Order: sequence, then structure tokens, then C-alpha cells
Amino acid sequence: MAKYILKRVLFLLVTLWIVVTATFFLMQILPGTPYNNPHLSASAIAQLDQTYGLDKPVMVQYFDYLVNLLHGDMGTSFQYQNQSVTMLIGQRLPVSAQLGLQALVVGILLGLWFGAVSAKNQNNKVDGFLGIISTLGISVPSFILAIVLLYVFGYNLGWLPVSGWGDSFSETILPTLALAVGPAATTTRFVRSEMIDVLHSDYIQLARAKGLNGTQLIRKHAYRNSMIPILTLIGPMVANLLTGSTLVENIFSIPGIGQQFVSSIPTKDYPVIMGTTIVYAAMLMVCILITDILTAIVDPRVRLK
Amino acid sequence: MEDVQNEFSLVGIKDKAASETIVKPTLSTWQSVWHRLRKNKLAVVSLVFLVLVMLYALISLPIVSQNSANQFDTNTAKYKNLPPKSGLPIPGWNGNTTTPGASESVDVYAKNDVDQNFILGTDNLGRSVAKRVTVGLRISLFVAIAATAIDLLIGVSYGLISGWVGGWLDNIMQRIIEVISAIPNLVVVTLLAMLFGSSIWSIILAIALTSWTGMARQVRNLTLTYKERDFVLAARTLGESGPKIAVKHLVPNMSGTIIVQIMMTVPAAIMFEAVLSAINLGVKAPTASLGTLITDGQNMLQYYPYQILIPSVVLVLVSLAFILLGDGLRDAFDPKMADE
Repeated sequence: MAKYILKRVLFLLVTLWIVVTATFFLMQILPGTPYNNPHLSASAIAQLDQTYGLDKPVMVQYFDYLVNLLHGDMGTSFQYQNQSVTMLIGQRLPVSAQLGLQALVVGILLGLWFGAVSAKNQNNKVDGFLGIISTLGISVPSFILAIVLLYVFGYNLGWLPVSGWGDSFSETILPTLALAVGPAATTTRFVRSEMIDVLHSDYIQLARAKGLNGTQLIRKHAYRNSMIPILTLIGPMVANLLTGSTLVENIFSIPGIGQQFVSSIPTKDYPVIMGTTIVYAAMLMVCILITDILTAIVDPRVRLK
Repeated sequence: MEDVQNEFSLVGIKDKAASETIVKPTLSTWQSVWHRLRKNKLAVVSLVFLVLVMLYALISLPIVSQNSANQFDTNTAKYKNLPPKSGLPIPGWNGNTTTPGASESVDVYAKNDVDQNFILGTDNLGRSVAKRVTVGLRISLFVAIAATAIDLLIGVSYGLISGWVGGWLDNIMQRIIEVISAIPNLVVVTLLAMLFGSSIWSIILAIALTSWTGMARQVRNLTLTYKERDFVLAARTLGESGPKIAVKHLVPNMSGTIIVQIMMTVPAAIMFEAVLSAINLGVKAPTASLGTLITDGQNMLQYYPYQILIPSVVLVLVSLAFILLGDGLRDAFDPKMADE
């Protein structure tokens, strides 16, 4: 087990290094300069280049960046004066993490519930209805859902605040819901098919013969065995959440890293774009690693492969 | 005994030889897939809907040009933000709206002295939303289908090479895929779009280069299984070259999986186009795509929700149809799945 984890962590670090390298050199060939002000004189630009180390050869800049990164320093933002990227991201990361986690938990819980209800009512009206809802949930992108929720509950009914973060819990409800529907729909479909398999297995027949009723059966026996494959879904879900949260944060004016990423694109704030890319990749990889390790703990067959 | 036999007469098949033949017609793969798909009502409705949508996008080409959808009258403001009006007294579709600040609903068309009826209303520059959505749909579909085609080309050849050659090459190619999948798609698509600029082809390329990994993985896995099968061995023994076996024997066997994968890629590409528009990396104004229409409509959400809801509904319906058809095709290609 330790060997498996070590191997995976090493692979993660190598992948992260490749991501950093690729993004760094991509940033070098991207068009545009950080100097938007046309009044800057050539000497002023030269001085700024010197301050930020932009006059050095590319390879030197690359190794500087790597060394700094190991110390947790991701450079200085072009957009916000003298603010370090690490600090900018550090301030915003908890917000995005909270939003993402809330959406993931709500989504998976809803999915487990709907999936079980669907499986229990296999091929009747309830199942059909939930099937339609979950297919809709998969095909409606979270940002469109966010817009609809914003209009209905924010503007039209006026029940919930339309923007902001951190003042009250009610502000988090709409963005969380918008992001939770995707994971909920995926989990519902998956749990349904897993649980139908499980419900047809011999040990469930035995439990039935023993006299357990439907709810007990699902809670005590069926859930546990259909949980393992759901772990593997979390990786792709987190990847989708990252994409979705960027736009949803923008729509609800939530000060997370997604919103920062979007705002740094038109201003060509390359250090921020790079920093966000690295943080995004690291987050996704760590999530996949954790779920893989959990899967390996629960299911010994995975380790042996 | 003989009397009894005479009282019965043979009905049905008279010819004894004919009764021995098996009458069930042999179906080709495609016939049987169609046979199974036909039973899935949702998939058939989706298929018809998609065919109609594509026909509409093509037929409207000479009628609603990009230019006519972009033009607006700079001299007058009377066409701005007109709500949808069908010309029939249907509530919510009769041109009546409550303007910001006003308390009661009025017919804006009468107030602004507009004779024309805009069935889907107009945007904040006075352009017909129906026309904008038509050209937007066309561009979004074009981007998505072109991106999927490139995606298909890269994904299938990558998967075939990786699975067929195997060994260290396979190992390296799989590691490359793993690294690419470790970066969130949004980030890859953004970086590529920044790199290539904002022409429509660069958007297509950015989307295609992001989404081929799923196809490559599936094709590789299938190649690994089929590689050991007898029909490949037979082709090899007969002296067929690797690429020829791949194209003539492997790809036809994978067509089901590939088609299902395509059905999943198109809606994802439509969504990514919208995402790129939302972060200002999409097609440039005044060209419309569903994504830019949704992004532009966002500012008008509070007072003119139809401007964002109409393109959103179109986008969702098209994506939904692709997903439902994909689900149906997957079941149709794999009867074992459908029976469960």
C-alpha cells in the first residue's frame, strides 16, 4: 500500500512539474506585454523589466520561477500593484474551496438519495421522472443554471441575494445549487445502475429472505456495495466543478480564484494566469489521488494492478 | 385409423422443404442497431429534432445572413429591447412588458410606433433576437461539429497507434494523456485560445485539442482487445500492413463506440464555445454565437430576461438531444446494456 501511494505521489509531482514547464513556456510565446500604458518610456520599461527579472534569458527566468515556486512564491501580479500572486490566490482559495466542497457534498448526497429511490422504483413512473431530471441535469451547463436560478429566485421572487460572498449563508445557496446539479445528476445515474446490479445479487436475495424490508435493505446492504464505484466519479466531477465554478463565481460576483482567473485574461496578467493554472492542476490531481487511494483501501484489487 | 387421418388437413406450409428453412431475415449491424434504436422514443425524437435543427441552420443560410443579423438602425432607438411579440393575444408573448421603473405593463410596440412584429423580440441595439439566434446556432453548431471532427481524427489515430504499436510508445503516449487530463479542461482551452487568437478556427482548434483524450483512451482500449482477436490474426497472416488492418478491420468494429463518443463530444464542444465567450475569448462581436448571445444577455437579465433565456434554451435543447441520442445509440449498439 505504501509503495502504491509513494508511486502515485511521485507521478503527481512529475506531472505537476510538466504542467508548470508547459505553462511557463506557453506564457513566453503568448502575444502581448504586461505594459498596457502607452505613456511608458523605453527606459521605464527597461527598469520594470529589471525589477521583475524579465530582462534575463528565458532559461534563467524558468529556473528562477521553479526555485521560487518551491518556496511558495509565484511571482508578482502585473495587474494589482506589488501584490504577490501567492497572496492573491491564498486569499481567494478558501472561498472557491468552500463553494466547491458545498456543491460536491450537496450534489453527491442528492445523487445518492435520488439514485436509490430510482433503483427501488426501477422502470416505474418515479424512476422515469428522475431519469428525465438527471438527463436534464447533465445537459444543462452550470452557468446557464446559475443564470436561471439568479433570475427566478434572485430577481423575480427576490428570495435570495443575487451576488456577494461572506456576509451570510443565504448568499451561498444559489451558486452552490447551480454547481451541485451536475454532480447530483451524474451520481444519480451511476448509483441507480450500480444499485440495480446490487439489488439483483444473491446476498440481497438472502437478506430479503431473512425478512429485511426495502429501506433497511438499501441502507444496510445495497448502499455500501454501490459506494465503491462512486469514488471513481469524484475526479471527473471535480474537474467539471472547476470549469463551472469559474463562470458561476463570475455570475454571482464571488471573490474566488475562478473570478480572478477570468479577470486576469483580458489584462494579460500572466503571473496570475500561471499561478491559477498550477493551483487548478494541483487541486484536480490531489483530488484524483485521494479518491484513488480511498478506492485502493476499499477495493484491494486496484492495488494489485 | 386412416379415417381419422383424412379428417385432418395440413394447413400452413405445404412445401416440406420450405418448412425446414429459417425464415428470420439476417440483419446487418446497422439494420439491427436501427431496429433497436427505433424502440427508444426519446432517441428517435432527438434524432428528428437534430436533423430539423441542422436543416434549419442550412436552409436559413441564404435567408438570414450574418450581415442581416448584425445590422441595426443607428438613427433610432425605437427598436431597442422590444419584447417577443407573436401577433396573437398570448400572455407573455404579446409585446407587453413592464419597463424598468414603470408599474404597469404596456405594449412597447404601440408605444414606440413599431409596425413590425419581432417574434423573439430585439436586443439592446435593436437587432432581431430570432435572426441573432439563427446565426448564433449556425456558428455554434459549426464550431462544435468542426471541433468534433478534428477531435475524432486526432483521438482515433492516437488511440490506434498507441494500442497497436504498444510497448514503450504506448507507455509514453498514455503518460502524455494522463498529464493532459490532469489540467482542468477550462485552463487548457483558455491557454490555447489565448495562444491562437480569436478567429473562429482558433476556437475550433482550442476546443478540439482539449477534448480528444477521451476518444483516444476508448479507441486504445478497444485496439488492445481486438489486436488479439482471430480476424486480426487472419489479416496479418494474409500479409496486410498495420495501417490497413487498422482502417479496414479495427475502425469498423469500433464504429459503435466512436459514434457514441461523438454524440458526447458535440454538446461538450457547444458548452466550451459558450464558456470561451463568457471569458471574452469567444467569437468577436458583432458575430453571434449562442455563447456570445448568452454572455451579452447576462447584463440584461434583470429587465429583459428573454434575451438570455432564448439562446440558453436553444443551447440546452440541442445539447440534450445529442446526449439522449447518444444514450439511445449506446444501448442500441450494445444490446446487453439495453436489457439490463
